[in-house]
Amino acid sequence: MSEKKVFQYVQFKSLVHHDFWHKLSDIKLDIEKLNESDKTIFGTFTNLNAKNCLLELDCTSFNSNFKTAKNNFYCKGTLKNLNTIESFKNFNRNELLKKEGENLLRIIENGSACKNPSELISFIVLTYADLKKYNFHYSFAFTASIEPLIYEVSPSQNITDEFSENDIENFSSSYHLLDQQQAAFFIATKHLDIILLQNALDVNQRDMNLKDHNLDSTYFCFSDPSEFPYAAWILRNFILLLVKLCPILHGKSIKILSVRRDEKSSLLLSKLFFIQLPNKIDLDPINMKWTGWERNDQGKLLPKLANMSNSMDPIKIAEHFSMLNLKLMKWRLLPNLNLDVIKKQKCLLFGAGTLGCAIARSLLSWGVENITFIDYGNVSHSNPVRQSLFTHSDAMQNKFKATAASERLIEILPSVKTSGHVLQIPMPGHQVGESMRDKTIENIENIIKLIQEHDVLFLLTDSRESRWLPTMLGVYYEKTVITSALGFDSYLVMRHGAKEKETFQMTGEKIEEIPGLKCIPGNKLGCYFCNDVTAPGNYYPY
Amino acid sequence: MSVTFTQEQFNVKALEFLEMSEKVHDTWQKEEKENTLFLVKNYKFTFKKEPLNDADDICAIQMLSEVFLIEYHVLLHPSYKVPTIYFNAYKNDKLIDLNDIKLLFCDDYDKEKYEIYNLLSQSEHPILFRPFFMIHPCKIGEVLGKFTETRNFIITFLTLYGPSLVGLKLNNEYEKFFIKD
Repeated sequence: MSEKKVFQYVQFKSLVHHDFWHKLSDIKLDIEKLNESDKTIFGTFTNLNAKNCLLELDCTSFNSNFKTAKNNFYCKGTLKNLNTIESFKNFNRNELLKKEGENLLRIIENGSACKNPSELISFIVLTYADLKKYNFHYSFAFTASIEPLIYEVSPSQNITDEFSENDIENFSSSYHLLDQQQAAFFIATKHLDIILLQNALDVNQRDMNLKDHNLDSTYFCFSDPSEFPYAAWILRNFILLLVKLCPILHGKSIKILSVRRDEKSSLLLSKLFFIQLPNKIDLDPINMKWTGWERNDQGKLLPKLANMSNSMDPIKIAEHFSMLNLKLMKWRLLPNLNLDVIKKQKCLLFGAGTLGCAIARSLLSWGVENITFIDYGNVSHSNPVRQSLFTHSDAMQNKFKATAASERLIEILPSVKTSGHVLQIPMPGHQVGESMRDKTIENIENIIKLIQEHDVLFLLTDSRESRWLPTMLGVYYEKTVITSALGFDSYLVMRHGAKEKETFQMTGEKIEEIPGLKCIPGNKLGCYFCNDVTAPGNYYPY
Repeated sequence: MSVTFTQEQFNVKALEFLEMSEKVHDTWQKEEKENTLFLVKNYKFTFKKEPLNDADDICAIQMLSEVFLIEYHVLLHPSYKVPTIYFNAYKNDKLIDLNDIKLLFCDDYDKEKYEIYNLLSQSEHPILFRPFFMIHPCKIGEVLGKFTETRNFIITFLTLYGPSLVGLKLNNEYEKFFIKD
């Protein structure tokens, strides 16, 4: 004789909708605060066009007067939200499970499970909400007893193998009239006539239960949320109820009807399982072992983690949406645009005036994440109208432009990495007195350090000669340098030339020739000064 | 000719659509906030199913799988005044970003199909104020203007935009409400 095959159930997979976490954080912040006591919540599942074997939670799970959609079933669960990650990790999960298991036994024994069969399904959610990082750690358990072990007598069949079309049709119409709570588990007879559990089973006269039934034409039915060949987890608790309340079934073979509906709500997907219950069943509550903790997506018995920062963290949302416009532009208009390259450029702005403010804002809008200002001046009353990062109050407080500009950038886009450095740029033709000697050397060192840390230098100061040192250092450290200057009736924007080896090694691409466009390769460009006719000097006296 | 609708017109047609949906066992739900009604449907599918046995509990099968969930919201765009679809998609418990949306709705990595980004955008849900993807409503009024004889403009909109763009299929049985006696 071949070895008997253990009948297996497929475990629920929890599917937590994001609005559940939104609601949980609202409740924690506004109502529960540090309260860790158990909270009753509701989960739903369906056997209509079932996917996987899902138990779902969403924001309505917290409603005290829970109503579910027409084709869904609901079940009660216990939510325990812990305040610290340590208490979440060290929480005695087995004890909680045992408590739920004992509760399950109690409702079977006292008959309330027969009155309201959907109470046979229960679950636990253990959570820890890290509201600073918008991380939600959670573990689910779908309470079930390891015992009784049951065996498969013969392979499963389709409902159409056992019943006539007529029977199925009648069954379908009475099934659809059933109350949701009753439809979770029930019994059917020969032609699939439905008997509710409360009418079939009496907790006070267990030996009499099902005595008059011919087991060959008695079908123990449940609404099965599994899309797999296996029966859903919830059948375990129905079997437990049957062995508890119907001693007559011990050692017998019985038929299980797993009611499954397709998207048109026909019951033709339903399956029949043929199982045998064990003869001797140890149902002493003390010996009962409970199971049901859910594994994570890698199959490990570890908590799951939902990171909600993309939809909850205002800083992330701002960052995301500011990039979104660029992405759409890339997708729609410039598919070759490499946004990541732009985003990663660390930009150093010499001068936080009209040009510095405008360029910083432009860089933000292009997704640049690192913007540093160097400026020696203070915000004056003439500045705010032209210099878009300053306000009247900055001028009133006589703030340094470099720091005021970087603070304002953070107000505009909190995720930007920015700083402002109040530094005087040494200039040719401007004498440095002995008293300023040390300070000037320190300034040069700081400027060198900042240039080394950045990729692109923008020269935006209000004098020619202040661009001299950064120009030289830009060449020396092989940085991209862009000069921009603004006069009353003129302006200049230019990119400084880069050394030959760099230009060609880096791109390696041939420059595309565009008719009518004269293109000078980067290695043949000069700088702001070598394109000019006069050497830099002190022009202030004139 | 381009058409627009009032919230009242939308509400009436949305309720009519819900009634039909119920009759054909579709799972559309109604959400309402301050007289602004919108329709919600969750669509799920499973990927990569791998049964895993449990050493401690021989009766248990854990199905290692990826569950995708797309929540579709159909609402009247507050400024364009045409119906449009807002949606979010999740893989297990993670939100799918705009880069990966194409993998969800384009069968093959067909370059041309990336044109969905000409029509998709992301913005704040006008009623829930959370980030959602959306079908950009700029051309919807024009398209619906060509179908002025329809009984229910929401269904017309859904059949035109749903299946090809965002994988939202309407079951054929809706037809039966449109066959003339």
